[in-house]
Amino acid sequence: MSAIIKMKKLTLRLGEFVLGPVSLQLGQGDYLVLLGPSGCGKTSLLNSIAGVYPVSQGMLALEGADSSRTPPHRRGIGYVSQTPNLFPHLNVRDNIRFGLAYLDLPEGEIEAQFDRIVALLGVGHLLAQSVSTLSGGEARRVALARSMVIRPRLLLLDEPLSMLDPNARVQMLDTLFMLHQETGTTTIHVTHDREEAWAMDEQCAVMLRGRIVQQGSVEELFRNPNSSTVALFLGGTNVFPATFRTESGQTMAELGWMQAELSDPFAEEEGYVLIRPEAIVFAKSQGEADFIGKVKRVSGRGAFSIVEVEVATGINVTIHMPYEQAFRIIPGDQLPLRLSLPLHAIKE
Amino acid sequence: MSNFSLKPRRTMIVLLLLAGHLGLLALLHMRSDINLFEYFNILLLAANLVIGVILIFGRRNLLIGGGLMFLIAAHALLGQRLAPDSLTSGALLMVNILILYVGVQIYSNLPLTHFYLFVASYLALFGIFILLMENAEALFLLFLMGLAATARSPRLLAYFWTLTLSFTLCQPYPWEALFIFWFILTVLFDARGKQRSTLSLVFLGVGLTLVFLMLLPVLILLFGEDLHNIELILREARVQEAIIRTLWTATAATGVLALFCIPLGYAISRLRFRGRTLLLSLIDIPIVIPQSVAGIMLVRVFGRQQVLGDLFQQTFGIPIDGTVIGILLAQIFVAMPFFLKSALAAFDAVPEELEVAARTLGAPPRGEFSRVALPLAGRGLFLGAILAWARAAGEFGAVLFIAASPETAPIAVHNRFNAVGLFETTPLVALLLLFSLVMFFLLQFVARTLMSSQGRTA
Repeated sequence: MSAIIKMKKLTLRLGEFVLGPVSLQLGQGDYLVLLGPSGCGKTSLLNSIAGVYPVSQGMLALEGADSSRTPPHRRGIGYVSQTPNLFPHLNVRDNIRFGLAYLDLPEGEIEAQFDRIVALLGVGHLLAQSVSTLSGGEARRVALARSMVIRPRLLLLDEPLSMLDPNARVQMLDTLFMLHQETGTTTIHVTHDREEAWAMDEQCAVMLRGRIVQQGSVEELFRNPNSSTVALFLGGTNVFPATFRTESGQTMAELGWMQAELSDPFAEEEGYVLIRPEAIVFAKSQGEADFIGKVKRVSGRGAFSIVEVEVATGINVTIHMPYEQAFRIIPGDQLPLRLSLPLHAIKE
Repeated sequence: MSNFSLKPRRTMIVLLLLAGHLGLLALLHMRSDINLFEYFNILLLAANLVIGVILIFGRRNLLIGGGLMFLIAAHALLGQRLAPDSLTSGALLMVNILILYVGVQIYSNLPLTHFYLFVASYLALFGIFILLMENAEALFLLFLMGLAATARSPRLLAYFWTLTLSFTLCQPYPWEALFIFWFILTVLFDARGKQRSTLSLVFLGVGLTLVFLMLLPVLILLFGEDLHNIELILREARVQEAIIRTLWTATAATGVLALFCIPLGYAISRLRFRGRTLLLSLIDIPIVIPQSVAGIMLVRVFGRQQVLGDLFQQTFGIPIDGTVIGILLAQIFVAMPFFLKSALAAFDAVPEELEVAARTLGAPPRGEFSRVALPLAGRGLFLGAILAWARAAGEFGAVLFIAASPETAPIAVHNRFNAVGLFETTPLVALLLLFSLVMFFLLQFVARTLMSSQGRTA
């Protein structure tokens, strides 16, 4: 069985902006979260997969057949863009049924498909309504139903949770989970929000400045970012330059204000270390401390607090600690701190 | 109302009034030739004395009481000079007492500006009916009662004044002027919005005045013409033919335009190409050039003994100029920009994302156009068609040169004016006016109400 979609050095030129080269492959039933900051080219990539933008260079194959010149309506791709883009002159039912006219299926099967998707997405009670009366979440669901009803071989979701209130976001996440479980549609889900990627907990690709820089499970990206830019984008605020010294299979990192062991041996002499904010804890005594931090700011985030400490002039470290430990800390305190996990090194 | 601190002043004012009255009484009494009228005045003044005493001891409203005393005294002295007879003088006194009462009410209950407006209105009415017009005391009384009835609200007062001005200064078209004034006032008072300020209202008022100066001839012609004359004109076979010919040629011209301008408008709206800006300004050429110039240009190309005109005649057997083909050509030429620009705007207003959505749902370009772009642009296209139709039906200059006969309605007006003059032409003009307005508003109504339910945007 060949891949549903395969991109090889796909390049797209849009005026000044160059997207790619991007290489990516998804098998039947895969769910890929494409994570990247605003303006990194995620939407342009989706547009070129859907056929809205022409591919400048490279290869795009759908189910093994080169499709870089196929017009959008023959690609069999469901594309839910960031704004729902429902047809204002049609009611919800006719919006969802729009693509059915072009589906090469027997009448009975079309109706069954329509009923199934409407039931799955829970939009049955909206069918007779005008689309101008829908809430943001409802409109998103209808747009999703409209794209799913044509049985796409690949579903593209562009920021499916954006501009929804927190409750609607949770509901939408559940819907996306359930939809993928029930239909097994291969999906590319684009987002700029790493919390959304954590929540989906599927395959994840990080896209920065028009290129996919790292791909893997969410856990892997979280633990092992392959560059400091990825680490910074994924929320590791504690990325510091360091020099490394390896003796008898054990690598020590020298940061200037702290020395610490690495989890794995590291061959380079210079690079970066990533300290996870939750991997820093209070030391029982001054002797046990890896470093001393002077508290600059304490802010609450629900169950945990964010404490920012200065470890040397101009160098700040962010610490996440449970609320009940942090509430006595005030700016100016000198805290003895130590690492609860070994450090992770990054080459560049 | 017994404000103690006012008491000395109050007593002084009333005492002054009383002294004046006694003086007046003495003056009247000393005259030897006292007639009935003057006896009446003496009685009035005596009554006033009683009011004055009541004011001192009874603590009544000083404004009303004092004003009443003043009014009665003034009428007793001046009534004969102002009014032609004692009846009018008495009526004037009664109305002035009413005005006094209303004035006091406004002064004590409403903002001072209302009171000033009221006083200024009174003086203005006095100026118009007593000083400007002769023997208009009865009208003055009538309008004073109107003033008393409307003075409490500036809005009503404004309506009252437009009525007054229409029937005094805007003769001989008072009803037309009234209609225009009231429309402007209603719009002004109903105007709402975040930027509703005196400035924006003044802008609106000034603009509306100009618009209505342009509409005034329309109103005068419509209201001023006898229905019987219009009916007579309508029975003339020549007029009937001209109207019917105008209707069908304009419709046919609009149809031809729809066939070309809808696809072209869509293409220009969706495509970017070199020369697009130039094309967009070329569209306006038929609007820019004078109609007579357009007519002669058409004759130069499509007329008899001209290249294309001859070719057409040889191919189809009929010439272009002097036939309905020529009429159609001229109408299409002048109406084209209206249709094309409307189509362009209508398609521009359809978001391209919706068409992208249609494509990704499996719709080929044809389906995308007919199921998304066309229905969503439908209302704008229809409005454009109405404009083009109206332009084609009303075209005179270009048609005159290429096909002065057979007659269309505008040409018929021209021919009739040349043959029999202004007054014989006005019934025909009124008829055409009525006809075009009814047609235009009907189509606008269809476009705005019936089609709006379909083209509702989110």
